[in-house]
Amino acid sequence: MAMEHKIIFAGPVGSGKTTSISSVSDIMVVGTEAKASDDVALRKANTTVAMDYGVLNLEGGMKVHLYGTPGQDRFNFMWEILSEGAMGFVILIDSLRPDPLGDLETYIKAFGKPIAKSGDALVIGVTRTENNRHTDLLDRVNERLAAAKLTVPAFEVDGRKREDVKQLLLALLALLDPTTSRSRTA
Amino acid sequence: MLQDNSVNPLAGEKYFPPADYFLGLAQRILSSGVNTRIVLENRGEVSLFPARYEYSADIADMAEFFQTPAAQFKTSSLGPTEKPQLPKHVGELLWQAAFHASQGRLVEGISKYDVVQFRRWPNLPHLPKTANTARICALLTRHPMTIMLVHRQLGIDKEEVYSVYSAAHSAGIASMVSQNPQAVASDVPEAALEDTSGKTGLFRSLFSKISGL
Repeated sequence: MAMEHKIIFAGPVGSGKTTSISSVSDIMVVGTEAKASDDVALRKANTTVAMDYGVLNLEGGMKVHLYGTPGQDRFNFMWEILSEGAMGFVILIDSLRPDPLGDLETYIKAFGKPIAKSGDALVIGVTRTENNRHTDLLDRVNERLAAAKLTVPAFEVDGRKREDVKQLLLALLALLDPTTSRSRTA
Repeated sequence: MLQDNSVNPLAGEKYFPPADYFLGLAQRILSSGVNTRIVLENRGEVSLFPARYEYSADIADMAEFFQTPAAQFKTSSLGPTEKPQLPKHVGELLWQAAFHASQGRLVEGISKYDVVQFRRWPNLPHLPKTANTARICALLTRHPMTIMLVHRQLGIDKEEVYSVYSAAHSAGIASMVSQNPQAVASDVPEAALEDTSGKTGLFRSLFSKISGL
């Protein structure tokens, strides 16, 4: 399948996917939110059940589609559908969840094939660190990434800040840039 | 602000000695292991906690603070049980200090012909950076190469590469693969490099779009 111009935002419930897409999208994010039930309701009133959708409009009429996957495991059949042929991936990890490193491993494994197909075009955003700064969390995230043989960007970000989401996307583009990868120039 | 014009005759490039700046002071305190408060009168202060590898800071103008001569800072010891109010990772402090002290120069002890690589990415949203810092990181996390070749491969000013590499080296995320080799396989002549600066329309448009957000 040819590479589509789409970037996938994935991560657990409450990690900031919808907010991050909203921070940079040129359109109001098209969401499929529903009232949260069970344990999710403890974290947020509404949650994404199918996908979020935003767009970056480029010069010449080109578009890059931004898709946010649903965070709940029971909707994970959507993950594969949405990620097919994606140019890159943003995985957001909520530092306040009980096991953020376990979440990281879960999502890297779940999206392993499409990430590999994209040439490891993956960036990690660790969210909600403002009031809960474990100064070594990013070190441990980088250790887990190294163990998975992924030397990809891992940043502390606030999805509400456009500048932070911009840095994630610039890093993703740097990975996709043909001048930064010999294999891509071959 | 120091105007250090020391020149390494072997490489013909300008270098900066960390000892002339806050950077060297911080490195010495980290080696000593003693919790220390560093003050620059009316400009700000940093508290360093070496054992925790953390710091806290209150600085008005980062560039001015980290470009000030080391002799102007005053230090005082903090208690061994004191903790930072809002702890941050010391690696970030060292990146900031080296990036601002560099002013387009390489840190002393590094040659532009050293083959280097990055072990991981820096936490860029929290750090000072140049327009091409992410591209430099993407290249050096995947391909060990000389600092000079990074400048050629990416088609950017070597001073920009020097600042970013000096920051990464000081923050401990860069490593040297081989030092100042006579001939480096990866260091091909400039003319032999494929011109990949003309990125596809999509990438060029995306960079333009996201950079302008």
